[in-house]
Amino acid sequence: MRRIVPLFILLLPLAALWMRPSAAVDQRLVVYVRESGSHLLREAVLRSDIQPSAVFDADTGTLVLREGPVPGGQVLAVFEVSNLGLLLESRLIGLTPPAALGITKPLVLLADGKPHEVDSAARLLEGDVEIMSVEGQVVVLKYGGRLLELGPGEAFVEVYVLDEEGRRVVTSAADIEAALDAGLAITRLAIENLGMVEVVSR
Amino acid sequence: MRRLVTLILLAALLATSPAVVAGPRRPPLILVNGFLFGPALTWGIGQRTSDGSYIPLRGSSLFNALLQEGYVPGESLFIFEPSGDYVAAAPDFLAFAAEVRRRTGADRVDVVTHGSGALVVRYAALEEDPRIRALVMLAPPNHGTFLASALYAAAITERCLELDPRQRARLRDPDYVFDLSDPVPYIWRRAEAIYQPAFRRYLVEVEFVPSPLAAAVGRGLAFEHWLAQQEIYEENILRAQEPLSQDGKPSEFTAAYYDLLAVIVARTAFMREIAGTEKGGVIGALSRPRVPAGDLKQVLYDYLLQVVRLYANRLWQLLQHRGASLLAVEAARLAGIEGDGPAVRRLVQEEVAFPVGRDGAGREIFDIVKANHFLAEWNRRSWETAAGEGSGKPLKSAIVAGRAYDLFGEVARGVGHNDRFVEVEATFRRPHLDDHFFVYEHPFAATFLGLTRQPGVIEYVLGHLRDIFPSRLTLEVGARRPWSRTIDGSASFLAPVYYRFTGQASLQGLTFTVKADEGGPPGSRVALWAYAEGPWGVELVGRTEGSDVVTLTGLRLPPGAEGLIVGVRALHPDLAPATLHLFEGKVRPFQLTAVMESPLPAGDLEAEEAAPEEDVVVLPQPVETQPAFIEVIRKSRMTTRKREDRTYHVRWEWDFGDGTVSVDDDPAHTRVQVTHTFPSPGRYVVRATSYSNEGRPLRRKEWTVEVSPGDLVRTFYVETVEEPRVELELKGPMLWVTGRPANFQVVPHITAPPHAERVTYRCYPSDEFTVVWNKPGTFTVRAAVTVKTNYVFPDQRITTWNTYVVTREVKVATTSISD
Repeated sequence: MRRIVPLFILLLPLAALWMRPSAAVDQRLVVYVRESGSHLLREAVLRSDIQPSAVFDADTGTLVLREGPVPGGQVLAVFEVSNLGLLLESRLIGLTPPAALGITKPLVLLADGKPHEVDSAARLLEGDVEIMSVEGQVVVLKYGGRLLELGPGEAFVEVYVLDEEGRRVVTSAADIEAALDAGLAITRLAIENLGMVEVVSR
Repeated sequence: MRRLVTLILLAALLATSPAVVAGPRRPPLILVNGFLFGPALTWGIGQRTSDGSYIPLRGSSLFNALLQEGYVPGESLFIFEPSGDYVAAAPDFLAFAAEVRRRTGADRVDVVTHGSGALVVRYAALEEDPRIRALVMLAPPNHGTFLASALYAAAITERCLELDPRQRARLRDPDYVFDLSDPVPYIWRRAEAIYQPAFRRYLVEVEFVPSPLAAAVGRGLAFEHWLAQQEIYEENILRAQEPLSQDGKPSEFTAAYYDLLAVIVARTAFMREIAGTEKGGVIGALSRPRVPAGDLKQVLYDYLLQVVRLYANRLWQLLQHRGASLLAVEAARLAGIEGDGPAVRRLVQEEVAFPVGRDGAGREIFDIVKANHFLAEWNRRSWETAAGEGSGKPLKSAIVAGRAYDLFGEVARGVGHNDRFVEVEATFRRPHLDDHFFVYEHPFAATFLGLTRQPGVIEYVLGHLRDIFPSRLTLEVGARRPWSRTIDGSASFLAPVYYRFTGQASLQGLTFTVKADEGGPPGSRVALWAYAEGPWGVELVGRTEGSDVVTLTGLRLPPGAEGLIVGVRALHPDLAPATLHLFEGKVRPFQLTAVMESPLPAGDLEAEEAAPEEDVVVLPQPVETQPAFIEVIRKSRMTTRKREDRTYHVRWEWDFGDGTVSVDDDPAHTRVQVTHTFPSPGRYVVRATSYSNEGRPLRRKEWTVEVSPGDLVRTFYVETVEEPRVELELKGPMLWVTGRPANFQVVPHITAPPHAERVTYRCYPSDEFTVVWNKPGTFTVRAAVTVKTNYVFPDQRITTWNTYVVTREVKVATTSISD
């Protein structure tokens, strides 16, 4: 009995954390990571079963989560993947730096009640995104061997095209249109630091 | 003997003949079915005989119920079967309604529609007033399109994509004249010329935009939502609601509809171009022309096996559930599209954060809901046009939506989804004051066609046809001044609540005030309006709305007005099809006060003097009232033998179907929300039963839930009956003498509880009675009121009778002493 009582007291905060109301409101540093592709699916899937895990209301600066609870950690990342505008993946990642987001893991799209393989070869990312540190609201990231420093409201965007010579970065709308005309695979990665945001979980 | 038998049979026939509802003459009723199913299947009509009469189907159907109600086909019941599309059928419907009015001599008609039949009536109302009294729409796709459109869209898309390069090149010729009897070339041309470039522009500007600034949108924008913000959308879809014409002859559909198909074609073509020629569904399997290399025999065998397996699976599902929606979904699947709603719904859809309330700290709480911008916009414009003065807006409209639980698993996933969202979305952007919404929930039967077979839905429809403004309470306003009454009520967002005030000589000068409590999402409002009621029907005499306190005063009643119907409902600017479920069950409690303060104008005083001198009398709702004055010569110590007898909820019993049961013994818990974690994935039948203080089951509710591995937690919400709040007042003397009649009056103050469709009461020995004592002493005068409450839940009707007793001590002296 003597052993159980301290253990019980020790577990009380954990139990309280677990039982906290789901409609909790939280201020979190939010990083939005969106990958857009053109050739990720081998079938013409027009509709996906994936629902956004969070909706950012720009008017109120509130991030509304589809389901609670809010993942723990110093940074809340929202990772989304789409193919020609069709949402393939939407995930909430809670982490404390230094930690990798794990965005290069293979994906499977659930659509029409069945799985559709996402072509990893058509994902032209330079690698995973790693959050190295957070100073105030400034996030330091590591991507493709580069260190990126994003203040609140700042974004990093890079567009890649795969042609005969391999993967290359394009920087203009004309390049993208030319790639679309040529039927080349395109990937865009956008990382945005939304800063401290009120996160509402239902 | 034979005559006697004949007479007996005739008497028996008369005794069992359909009951005809008494009261003022009802308008004729027109049934309008949709395009997908004919009247026989829609309304449950069995067989039409050569003389035009009908042999009804066995079992429950709306048509049978209408016959039982006293409607006679050809005399008071008519069926309009639309053909073509809603644009083409609208003038036919107007002509049909006019002919029905002419033939029956009626000023207005009642209309019940099913499915896309509602679109016909709505479109007709834009053109001309069809003079409708009540419009009841069952599963109307007001906020979407119908399945037939989806099938049509799928077929058109496939044919567009099959056009060969030579044909396409010819269609690009600016001088090419399109023959709209086959719209495929036209739609392809629109897709290629307008929407494919638009989709490319969307990809460059939204999906692959190289500028870091564009990332500030936070998340991607769906193509359809982006398109809805473009000028081509406004021009080609939003405003193009007229049929195309060719040689002066209108096309089958509106220009917007062809362009919506062109959007689908453009996007599909673009995706196929990138992803290859793979197609989903059976049509994809069947239309795949290229046979892969290898053993042809083996390939054919595999192919056939695949098709057989597919069909066997569908057949098994059909046999298992036999749901009408399932058939429709099957048809859609055969055409290669998903059965989870109309094609247009998929066109413009996004998710928005919608504020639903505030937490303890005052911060807003949000829900994520789907919104469909294009259709909401189109519907809003349509009804705005139709809702003007003298327009085709019916006096009242009611919408019945089905909500079937998503039981059908992977194969027919769309059934539940379709019913839940398409038919629940069958609402207007903002309801008119008298509009009703009724969501019928049933695990299997709340399907598209199933609605017209369900007793709960049938009773709801009949109720609307019987009484356009069914009132909770009828109050008779007496002649004495000043006069006031306060009624406690609850204002729903989905339906109005009505109160009827009668007393012909006394209604001018009534002032009504509604004071609403906090309730509902932030920004909620409350509306108060009044109709004058007379032999000519009803006429709106005043309306107002505000955030919490609203007052209607200075009402001018037209000559011959016999009553006032006062309506109250809660409003919210964001109440829209996609957000409807957020307002279900939410109410704003209010107090309605009716006051007659000032003396009547001189002209009215004469009429008032002619009226009998009486105080306020609340009329019992049932017809079977006792005479107003009963002389009770006291022989016993009691004036009535009625005892207090109440029925109320005391206990919930839950059976979660996984071996877990729970009991909630708090009588205050009439509305409960229970969250349960299931031990493992599977299908469970969950039952909740409410028991009364007498130990009898009051309300039962059953859910069948599919629990998946990642989601074992489910929340259930259920309500049972709440006892009406009743306060009794017994007016009369406290001191009296023997031999002289003493007058007593019973005044009940009754607050209707939630879900009470009707509250009626009866007083014992009567609402007014006289007592004569023949000896002195102290006596207890005892009166009682029995309150009958009819509760209507979406899946159950419950009636309770509660008796309440009130007493008054009277000291009676002998006349000799008092004299």
